[in-house]
Amino acid sequence: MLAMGPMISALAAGILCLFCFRSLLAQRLITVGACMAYTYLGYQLMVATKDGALVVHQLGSWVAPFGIVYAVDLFGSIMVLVSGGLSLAISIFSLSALPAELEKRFFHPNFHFLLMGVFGAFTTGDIFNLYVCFELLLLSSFVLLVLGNRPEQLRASFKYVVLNFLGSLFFLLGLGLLYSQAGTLNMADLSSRIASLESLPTALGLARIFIWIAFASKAALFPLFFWLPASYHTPHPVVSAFFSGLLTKVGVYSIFRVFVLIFPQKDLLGMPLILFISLLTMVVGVLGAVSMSSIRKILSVHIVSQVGYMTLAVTFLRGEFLAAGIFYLIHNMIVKTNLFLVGASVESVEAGGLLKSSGSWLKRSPFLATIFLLSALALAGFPPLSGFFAKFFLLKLLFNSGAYISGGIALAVGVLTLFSMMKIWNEVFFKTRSGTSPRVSLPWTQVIPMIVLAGVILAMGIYADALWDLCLRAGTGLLNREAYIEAVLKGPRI
Amino acid sequence: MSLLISLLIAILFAVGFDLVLQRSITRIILGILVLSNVTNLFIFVVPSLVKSAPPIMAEKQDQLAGVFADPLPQALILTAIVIGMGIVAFLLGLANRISEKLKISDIDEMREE
Repeated sequence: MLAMGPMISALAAGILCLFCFRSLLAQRLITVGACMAYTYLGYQLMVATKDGALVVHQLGSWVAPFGIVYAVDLFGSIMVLVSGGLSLAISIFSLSALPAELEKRFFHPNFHFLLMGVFGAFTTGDIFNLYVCFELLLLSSFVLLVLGNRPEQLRASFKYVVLNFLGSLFFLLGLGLLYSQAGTLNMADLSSRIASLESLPTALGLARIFIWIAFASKAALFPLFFWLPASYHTPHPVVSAFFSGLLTKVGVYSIFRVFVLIFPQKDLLGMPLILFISLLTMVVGVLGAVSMSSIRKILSVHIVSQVGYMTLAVTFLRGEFLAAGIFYLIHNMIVKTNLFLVGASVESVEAGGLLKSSGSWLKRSPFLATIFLLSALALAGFPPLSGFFAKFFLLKLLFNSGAYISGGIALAVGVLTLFSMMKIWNEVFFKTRSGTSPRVSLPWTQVIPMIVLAGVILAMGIYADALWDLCLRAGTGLLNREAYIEAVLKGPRI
Repeated sequence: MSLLISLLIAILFAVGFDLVLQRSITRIILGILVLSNVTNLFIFVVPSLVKSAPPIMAEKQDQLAGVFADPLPQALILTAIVIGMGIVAFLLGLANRISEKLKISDIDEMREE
């Protein structure tokens, strides 16, 4: 039952919030309480899986591969823990940052339904269920995106909905082809049938391309990322922060899971394609970020570039590389969310957060400046912060295995990352603005999440070896297809 | 039979993508409606069509014998129809808001200022 815990508790919390839709206080209590529960469940999952065991639940006692199965390994449980923790930080932050009229328009239920999709994607062992979870989180994200009904939100949402629909369409087409060829949709069963094939027959190859298109568009990879810069800067900043930490990362998780477990083929349209697309994504994303003109636009286009680093790690199909990718994923989720939270605090005073019109934030709120600098330096990869080790592990592996071009590009993109972060720093924090700049005092509900996340960023750097150990176990566990198949198809029948 | 339905799927895909690529918001939504339904048809057809052999066991039988239609794609389609309908319903609401608030019906006018 533990495997479905996060998903079911998110469903329950969402429904409870719907019942209490008249009382904001009740909804807030439910939200914060439920987010604590997600974090706790994520921790429990991690404890249960840290030695390489899988937590498996056969839904309704329909035995796999015939029923829907939920299977969580260490990688999945780390993702549940991190996203649970981030949702807790964001839910506390939203208490003071989100205007009550937005909260009343069903922010809380959709918050939980989105998390239900996210947790479902992290825990499911059935690829059609993965599709359903994608749709679940997409539909909730549509609602959160238009919350407030401002004209630019309406414009952005239309593009977001249509482009994401097309992504899902390809997913569904891919699943149809996959089922027609393999006769199953259980990921362990698919893995045992497909992963050992040297090269794929045409129909399966087509299914792989379709599924790749779907994941690439969810993860915002080049050239399918256009929905992201068009939409992420328009909703309320708290919603942006929520999206930045979780949405694209579900796409990345799915690429890790499906392409390691089911499609590890090394023919031209397999891993080399992912490698090529990842490198392009890194470069195009960071160049786009440098050219943007508001805090949130820079940060959101920058997500694109970071996703490239993670998918790059998949293509080598080695435990260490996957571990480096997982480390990067954790680091990026936390740092990005914290940066967006800083942006949200700035925007709560300075609507729009345009670089040109803002300034003097170093004087107005030294606290925000410190948190921003810490997170931005972590993102750029300064020791002893989390980002240094995330980049260090990946680059070391790249250079050691002779992938000099990829390594060189990753280094160059790192420099440009620093440049884009310094652009925000110079314009928003360092530049003195003409006119009066009164000091800004932030409510404690905004201060505490940022301090905690900053603390985690520091701790990830200081205890990098312990975390690396965990990631290495998650990475090798992810690569260990036999263990996954064994646990799902031959494990104890509940 | 299979060939005919395959042709139909091809035509519907062409129609759907053509509609999605148009500038009018209404046509884009119609295109999405067509595309989500033709995808369902596609899933229905790919695991090979079986004519008039439902996967229902006769009384006192504990196993299906002979050729029978695969019930799983139909279950998948059932899920996909609901999801597709949800998305189209949301899009219609959104389009309504867009035409009310922004007074535009052309995707080109949706560019950011």
